[in-house]
Amino acid sequence: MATERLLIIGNGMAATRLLQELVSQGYAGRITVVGDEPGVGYNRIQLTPWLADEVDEPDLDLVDRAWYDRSGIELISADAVIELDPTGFARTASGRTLPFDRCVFATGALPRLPDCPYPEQPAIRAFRSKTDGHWLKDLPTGRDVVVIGGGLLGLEAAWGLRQRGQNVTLVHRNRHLMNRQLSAATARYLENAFRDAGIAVRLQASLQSIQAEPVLRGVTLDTGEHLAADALIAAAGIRPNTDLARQAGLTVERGIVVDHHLRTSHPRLFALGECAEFQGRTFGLVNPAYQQARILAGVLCGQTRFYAVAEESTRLKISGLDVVSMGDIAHPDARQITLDNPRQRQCRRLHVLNDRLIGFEMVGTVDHADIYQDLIDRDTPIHDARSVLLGQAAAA
Amino acid sequence: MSAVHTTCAYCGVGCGVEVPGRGDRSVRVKGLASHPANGGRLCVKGTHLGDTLPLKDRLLYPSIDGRDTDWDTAVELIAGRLQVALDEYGPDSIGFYLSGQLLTEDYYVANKLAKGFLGTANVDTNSRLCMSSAVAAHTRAFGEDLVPGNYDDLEQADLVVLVGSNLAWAHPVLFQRLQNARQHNPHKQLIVIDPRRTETAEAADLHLPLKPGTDGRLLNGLLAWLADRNQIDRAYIDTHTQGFDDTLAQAREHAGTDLPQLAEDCGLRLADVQSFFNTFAATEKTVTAWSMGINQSRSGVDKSQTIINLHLATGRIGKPGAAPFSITGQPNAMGGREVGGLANQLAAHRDFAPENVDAVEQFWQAKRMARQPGLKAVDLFRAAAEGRIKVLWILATNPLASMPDAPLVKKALERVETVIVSDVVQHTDTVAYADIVLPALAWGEKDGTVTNSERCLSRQRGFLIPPGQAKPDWWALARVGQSLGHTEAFAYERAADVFREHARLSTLNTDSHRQFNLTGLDSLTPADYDNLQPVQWPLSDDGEPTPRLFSDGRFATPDGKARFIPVTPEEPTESTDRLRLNTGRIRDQWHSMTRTGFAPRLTQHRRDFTLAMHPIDADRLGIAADALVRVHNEQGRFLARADLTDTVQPGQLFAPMHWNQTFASEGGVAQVIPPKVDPLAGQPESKHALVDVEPVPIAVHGLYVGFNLPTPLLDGAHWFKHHLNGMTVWQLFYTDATVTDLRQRLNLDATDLILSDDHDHWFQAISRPPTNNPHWLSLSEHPIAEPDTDWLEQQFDQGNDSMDDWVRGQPAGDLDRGKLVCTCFNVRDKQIAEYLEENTEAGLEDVQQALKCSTSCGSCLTEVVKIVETSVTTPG
Repeated sequence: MATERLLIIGNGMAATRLLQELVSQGYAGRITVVGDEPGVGYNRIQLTPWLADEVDEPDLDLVDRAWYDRSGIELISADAVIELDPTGFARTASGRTLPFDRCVFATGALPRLPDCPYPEQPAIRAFRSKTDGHWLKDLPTGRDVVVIGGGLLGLEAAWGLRQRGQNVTLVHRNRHLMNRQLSAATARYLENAFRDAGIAVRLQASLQSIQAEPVLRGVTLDTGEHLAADALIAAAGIRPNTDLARQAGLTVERGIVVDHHLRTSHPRLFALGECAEFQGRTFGLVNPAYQQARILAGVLCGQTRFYAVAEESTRLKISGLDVVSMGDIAHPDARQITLDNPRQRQCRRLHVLNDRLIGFEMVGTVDHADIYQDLIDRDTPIHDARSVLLGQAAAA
Repeated sequence: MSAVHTTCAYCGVGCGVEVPGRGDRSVRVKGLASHPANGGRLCVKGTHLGDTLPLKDRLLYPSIDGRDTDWDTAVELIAGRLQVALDEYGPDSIGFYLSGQLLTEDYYVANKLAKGFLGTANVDTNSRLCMSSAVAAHTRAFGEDLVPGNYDDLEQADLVVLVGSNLAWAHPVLFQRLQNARQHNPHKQLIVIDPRRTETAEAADLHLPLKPGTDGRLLNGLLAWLADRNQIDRAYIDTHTQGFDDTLAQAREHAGTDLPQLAEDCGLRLADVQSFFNTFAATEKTVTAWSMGINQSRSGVDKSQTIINLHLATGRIGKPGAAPFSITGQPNAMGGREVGGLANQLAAHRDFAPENVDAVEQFWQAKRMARQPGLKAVDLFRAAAEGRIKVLWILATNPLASMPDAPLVKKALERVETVIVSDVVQHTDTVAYADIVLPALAWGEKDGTVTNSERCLSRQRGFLIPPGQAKPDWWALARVGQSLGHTEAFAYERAADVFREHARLSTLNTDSHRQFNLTGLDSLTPADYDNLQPVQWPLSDDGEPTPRLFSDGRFATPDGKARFIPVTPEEPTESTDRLRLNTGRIRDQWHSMTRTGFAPRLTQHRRDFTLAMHPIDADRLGIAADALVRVHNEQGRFLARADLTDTVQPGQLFAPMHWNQTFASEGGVAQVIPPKVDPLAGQPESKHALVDVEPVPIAVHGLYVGFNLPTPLLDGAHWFKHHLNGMTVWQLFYTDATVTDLRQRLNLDATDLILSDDHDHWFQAISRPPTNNPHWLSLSEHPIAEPDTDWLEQQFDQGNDSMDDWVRGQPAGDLDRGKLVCTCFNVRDKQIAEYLEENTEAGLEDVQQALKCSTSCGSCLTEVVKIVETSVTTPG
């Protein structure tokens, strides 16, 4: 039997982990991976520490180039698949044709850019890539930067930029930061930490207009406030990158629809990571992508593996400011057990319903997060919520 | 710096204490090896005397109506009030209430001022509550208040019978000496007669857990039984005593000769009674020692007499290892007796017979002599409550906490026009009612003499500079005497001057049948006085002390014969549907805790104000362990926490006497003790009250550790508190509140750790340093597991970053350190158990060697032995 040719489109974190899994699980075929960014797969999560000069650029790389060679993987970087024939051919922007037996979509997601009109320019951008990072690192200090979006991405971008000495204003549409992962009271700690760090925070506000003719000068919020801006960072969410899949005729809802084997509507095509949609859910966190990579590598190696969504905790990746959240933190009937430590900006909150831990959130500390997560995962009955809060799993 | 030799401030054993040097309020004291009472030993309380020296809550200035003033103003006001009372109402409108905590010199001047210059014999003392029954019995039987034996006798005896004495806890050094002697003499027997299975009883060869108040019957029964078997000393009776036949007849009449019936009447097993009687009959060298279990009774004098009768009938008195032995509770109860500091005594062991009054009047050059006995404690406060006392001067005692019928005492203090209180601390139940407060010297500052239970007179020496305007009590009393115009009579310059006069007065007894006599000590120079070594009076002609009285068979009666007294001690009222409350001391606290309550190590042994009750009663009344219980009767009520234990018998209760309203919102066993007194001694029956007990349902429990409990939390709270090194622990109970209500009473601005439950079943707030009011507070609908408060207090000093540890109130991995057993070496039961687990062959001595527990004061020995024994008998 001829050696299988496996094509992986995209070279982000999901793709790189898939490659690692395939190697470690002994995949026997020939692998080609195509990424539109230059260089090897790198750790996007570390962009904020890099921006804050806490890590060096080479440390972002998840593997080195020699690894591809050693593992017999053909790496095509700074090129993009622009056309795909599900029967076994892909064409890249540079004009290469790549035949394949099976193919994996790891095309990731695209940032949501402002929907009000503005002329495209470098100063209005996302913070998703090394290119974004380089541009932001090159920005002289003391500039006015507006970050749109008070979720994980926006918080990380704002924090990193503030570390670089920029005057940062964070604009968030909701009443409180990280509103999907934190309750309002918990989010207050986060907000205070941001304000303490010198970041201006505007809640319940969104962009109304951008003054960017010919270059960015400022923005106006729907609250009427005008903010000076030398740079505008869009971090108000992402959308799965499904253009190619759509063009190839695959079933696409919000993301590329996959089944338990991470197979798309076409039997030879697979998808994982931010571009994929499974049981109506899309994924913005790295852990599900990694889990999918493990399952998909097994499937591609010929095993029967099933993917199931695991409850994930969300962790903000800002050094010195721990934020963890998991499960349901908004159930109206849940009892809330809280440890507040305003002076040290720490807070832990458990959400308990019917003697089960259904969610937790914490700021300024990650103590016992593993215990809490385990109690949620195992649906363990809890007898003494107070002791559980203090990390005594035995009370569960 | 040279060491200072002084005497312990606590019980009647009167141990010598060595203090390393002068001027240091953080000293560690040790036992004085050369003192005859203790030979270097000290109990826990004594060992921690140094912990009571800090000036926390100390009274520093005289005050009038709550405002600080100077001594001149205070003395003038007191003299003025006394003069007005004398002029308008007469001498009997003046009262003094003294204390066995006073030095002999203080006592002497108070007694002289009252009885010789104010003309009132209304001078009584808290010793009335302690040993006045023994005093009266001694006086009646021996002709004078004399303790014949000494501590060596306890060691030399082949049989020690303890009646109503928890010697192990109340007089630990004596108990240690006794236990030591038992080790060296395997034939030595210890028999304990006590309704409770105390630590002392646990250590005994035989424990007789008799029905409360039947001791007199049992001992009368023994007398009859001995006589029937010719086990009495006829020769001794004939030569040295009077009144035996009547006494024997009455004993027979009272106790009967039917031993099974007697055993049943006393609630004892026949075999135990037989064993006791046989051992008593067979053992010539017998000491029968008694304390408050006998004295604090409606028939304390007669019960004491039953003991004396037995020793007279067997001639076991005045001989090595043979004596009836009253062991007093206070450091200077005996000194007070010597100067006559009781309402029915005049001075120098003399009563109010006209010739005595004349003699003392002449000696004092008295201006206004009291010629009749005055009011004894209970009557004094009753008179005060009725408005007959206009000026009452209370020194060194806290009657509101210690007298029976506290509600009556409260009424008395409210009614008396001028209440003067001399004390060392600012807050006692009694100080709160004072019009004039005088700052006295505390132990370590005061200088004078005390006499212990074996007639040994020793010096208490000052080694600290008195704080603020604190002054000796004798000085304050003398200043008032002088201010009243008696300049010469009270012209003392130093304690030695007072002592010399007291000793000279005692020499009036020379050539009489009275034996109290300080001849040989009546001309001490100040330097001699300073250097005075412990001495047992009276001194012989060649200056030798007298270790034992009545050795020659001569008693202090005019005819030299001891008096048998026929007695039928009255037994306390029984009730089928009420419980009988017994009271007493616990090991590590002293009286109303005004000093020991501030020594954290002393608080560890028993932190809670508990009511010991049998599980059967608890079950019947629906009371769970540790539950808050209300104890009440027609007299009053108090609140304590239930301690379910079979050391008390069904139907009986025990509560420690120490907790009062300073340490508990509704503290004080005195609240329910009826003012029932012995008709001769006037001593209250503090060991017996009929009460009802019921559980108090708790809506919210609270626990506060810190410096200042937020006052709003006191509203509607039942509370208990105890002190740590600097912080105070408050246990709070609310019957009618919710966590939400209580939480809303708090200002949480400075609080940096808040644990909350949005359904408000519980709430916790912690304020850690740096903050000006660090504290730890927990409120819950359920009982709160007490945090490791010692650890917590350290964290407030040292800082700790673990929120969990803070909230939990103890370090992780140290969730249960166990119960403190040995206060001296800070050893907990768990440590001992763990050691025994690791060393399966280990015995008591190994444990003592490895952990040191019970090797210093020995108070915890019984507990340690119990742990070792339990571990041996537990399989696996």
